[in-house]
Amino acid sequence: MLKLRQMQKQKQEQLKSEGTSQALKHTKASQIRLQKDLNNVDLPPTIQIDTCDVARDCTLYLQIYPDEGFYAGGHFKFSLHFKDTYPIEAPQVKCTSKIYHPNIDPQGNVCLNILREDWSPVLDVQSIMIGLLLLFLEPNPNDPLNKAAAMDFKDSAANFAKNVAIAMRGGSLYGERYDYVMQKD
Amino acid sequence: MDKYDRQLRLWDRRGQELLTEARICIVGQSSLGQEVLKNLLLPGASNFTVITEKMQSDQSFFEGGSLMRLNPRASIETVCWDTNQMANKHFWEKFDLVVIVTTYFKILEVLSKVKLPRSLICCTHEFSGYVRFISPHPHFVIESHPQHTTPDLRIMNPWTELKYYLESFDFTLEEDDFSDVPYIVIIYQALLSVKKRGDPVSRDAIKEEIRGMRALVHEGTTGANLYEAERFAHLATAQSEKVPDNLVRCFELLDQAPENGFDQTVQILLKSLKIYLGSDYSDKQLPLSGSIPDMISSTENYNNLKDLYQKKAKEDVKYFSSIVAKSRVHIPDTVINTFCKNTKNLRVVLPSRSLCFRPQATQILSQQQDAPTDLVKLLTDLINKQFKISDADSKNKMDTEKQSNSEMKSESKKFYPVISLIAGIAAQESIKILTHQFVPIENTFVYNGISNQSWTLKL
Amino acid sequence: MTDLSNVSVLVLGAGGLGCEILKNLAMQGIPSIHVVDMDTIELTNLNRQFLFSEADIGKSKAHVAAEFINGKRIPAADGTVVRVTPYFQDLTLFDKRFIASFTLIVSGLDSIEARRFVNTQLVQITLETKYEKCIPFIDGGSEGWKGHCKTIIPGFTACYECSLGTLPSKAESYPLCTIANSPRLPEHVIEYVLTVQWPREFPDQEFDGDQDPHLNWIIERSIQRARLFGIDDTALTREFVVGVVKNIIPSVASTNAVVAAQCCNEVTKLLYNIYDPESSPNFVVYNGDDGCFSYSFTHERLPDCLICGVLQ
Repeated sequence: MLKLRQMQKQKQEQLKSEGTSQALKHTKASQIRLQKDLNNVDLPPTIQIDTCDVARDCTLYLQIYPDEGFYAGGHFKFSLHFKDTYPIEAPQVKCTSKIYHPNIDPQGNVCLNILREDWSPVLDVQSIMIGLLLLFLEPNPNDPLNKAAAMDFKDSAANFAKNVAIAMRGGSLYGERYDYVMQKD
Repeated sequence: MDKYDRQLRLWDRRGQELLTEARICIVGQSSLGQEVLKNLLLPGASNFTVITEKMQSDQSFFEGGSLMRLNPRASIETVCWDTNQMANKHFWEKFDLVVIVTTYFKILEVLSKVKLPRSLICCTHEFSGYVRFISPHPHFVIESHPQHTTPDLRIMNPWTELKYYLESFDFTLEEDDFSDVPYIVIIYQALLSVKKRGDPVSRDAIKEEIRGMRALVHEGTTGANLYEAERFAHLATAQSEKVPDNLVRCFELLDQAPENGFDQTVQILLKSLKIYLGSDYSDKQLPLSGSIPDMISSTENYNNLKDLYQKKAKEDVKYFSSIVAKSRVHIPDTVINTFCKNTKNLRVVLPSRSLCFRPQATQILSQQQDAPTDLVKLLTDLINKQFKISDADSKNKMDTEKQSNSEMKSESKKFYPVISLIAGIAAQESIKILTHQFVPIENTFVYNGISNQSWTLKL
Repeated sequence: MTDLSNVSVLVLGAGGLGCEILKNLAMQGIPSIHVVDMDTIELTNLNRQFLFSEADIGKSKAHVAAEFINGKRIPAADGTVVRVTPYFQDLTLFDKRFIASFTLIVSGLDSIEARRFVNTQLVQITLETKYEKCIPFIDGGSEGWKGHCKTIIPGFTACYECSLGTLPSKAESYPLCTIANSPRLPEHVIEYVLTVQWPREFPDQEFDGDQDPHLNWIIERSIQRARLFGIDDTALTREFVVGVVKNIIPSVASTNAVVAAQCCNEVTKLLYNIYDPESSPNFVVYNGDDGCFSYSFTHERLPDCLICGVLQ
């Protein structure tokens, strides 16, 4: 490996004159990438982010406070779990508040294209945050996970809005009891 | 789970059976030959005859019983080269495939004069190597497993039942519930609108029409199926009555196939297909494959469409079978079914006709514009290595090899990966040839391990 | 002649590619070979992993592979005998100093995470030693008739992370609402049972595709669900369902032979000064399903690569 060794020598000489370079903070590439995502996050006022568990188990918590639309006045919690495969695979996203929403089922599964079939390594935490926020501003009844909610939305926006209001206050709909998610003033 | 599970996912039980039953002869006992044998024992090939040039062998990784444990059911018969016996074509008739790795000119000379079954010849020289597919007959492939295919949907000219179904959808776009309609329906309806206006039918016209639909649909719906329809608009203009080039070539070469075994079956099937295409029944359309790709749709709409395509495919098979039956050779239904599913993707490969490179082969090559000079030199060196005419007497060759000192041997160690690579390709081509699945090389593969380049040449 | 007496090569993985890599390196006469693999031998390995036989099922791949080759007493290029040292463990538990002790690393792994780990470690080593150490990392991968070989020289050629964008997305993934409401394919049905029904039914138990009761449950529920939607349930054979839930990738001996040989040929070229990091292509892709196609090219380093970007 003579050629390589020569090239290394040249680099070593170069470095001597230039001084030291920075080190990598993490051992895992997925964590380095996640850290970069977090450094670049540009938070809208309607989203809060909690990074306390990122170092421990690569989980990020989000709270979304929609300021308009059917869900204005509520706050909705999500957990994002990043595996070592990030960003080749999307993080696992769960809605940890039990809510009445056409695209989120009572178990917390979220139907959002960029989290599954349309995920790409160029997407990041920011894209996921915006994607989730949009789900509250513009629910999509054509991709339903909670079919009852989707039907209500298609049938009558007014009735749907009424049901959202009931559910957000911890009420029951179709035998399913939802979490109280109103912001406390 | 089956020991062969991971490869059955590639060539299925049909392919596995052919591979297990195949009778394979390997001529030469070098490391290259041993590696080929290993690569064929592993996937389950079980009947081998290995012809050795001499009694003692080189240092080899696979010695004694270590090969047999790879496939305990296999039988490996090792026989010494015997010109008297092996210059006779009857010796070779029993094999489905011969893999020639020897560099003994005396043997190659005999082999080049005798009628061999389908064969592969290969050789390495330092960092380079080649594999060549040899047969006097064209090689047909029914299951080519193409990576990308255009689905045959007949949107342009649907049969009656399909037409009826496609027109049963009422397209009032302003009404909401539209998102469960599969793109076949959307494209068909767009096609109708374009025709109704008397505009020329083109992919762009259909796309434009679908974009127009999208503007009309109820706000709030994603229109994902419309986007999908726009993406696949080219399927509207797919000419399903045009016989694809690969199939035309199969028809052209069909008379050169020998009239036995698989080739006879292919011949009958191809002749029947010609009759089928000329019949009133087919309206110049190939038998429908019956499969449709996944598309955005409700389960119900998709199932309905799928049923229609499958039903039509079954009818086509039935009619096709009635033509095949006239040949009076029994062909199993499963074979006819597989053939009908794959008519669009039938392939034929022309192997090299003779074992020896035609003397002018490298000359022809050097005249080809895109043939790099190093390729010409590479191939010349390889041919010289394998067909070293000055070495006509194998006894001399043995002596030189005996003389080679340990330093020479240790120098040659570094080329082992190239032997392994060429053996990998030879085994891969063997499997493709024996299973008649996937497309073998047409017909000479040359590898340069220094530049990591490879070429496939028709020689 | 090049002196190989101090050469020590670490092989990652003793699976389909690993067996071939180990055999080749031994026949190349590399005196000291180390192999790490945390897996044990299974029946379905035996169509390609030729260092093992049925009697070895359940044993450590690394140990059996090492024993096989050591038993052959293959002469090394330095006059000694080739010696393989096995590690039956998770390679991400190796410490950096251990990794730094090798001349070269050849990988035949199927896990992207493990490759990223090694790649990061190697960049770190070059960084910390200020280019005194620079360990080439040759990465092979195979899938059906296809494969690739990347030659990564930290600080000089594109690192694994630089070429992450060339990876296909890991598994086919379907929209959640499709699999929930309008499944059309047998795969849709299985995906739903696996990702929605299983966690609902067994919230405290992770699904394990190697456990028969788990698989049986998935198969049974998938058939039920297929019938519910009028989807052909004859497609839902055990092989098919296992293939989907475990994301089984077809694998055949000959492709592994080709790809491993490509990797080991890079080792030869590096050791014998035939490889030029400045001009040799560092990326080869191979496909053997329609003729034999290979393509080699130079994948440039990404200037802002998150990993090797720190190596100027």
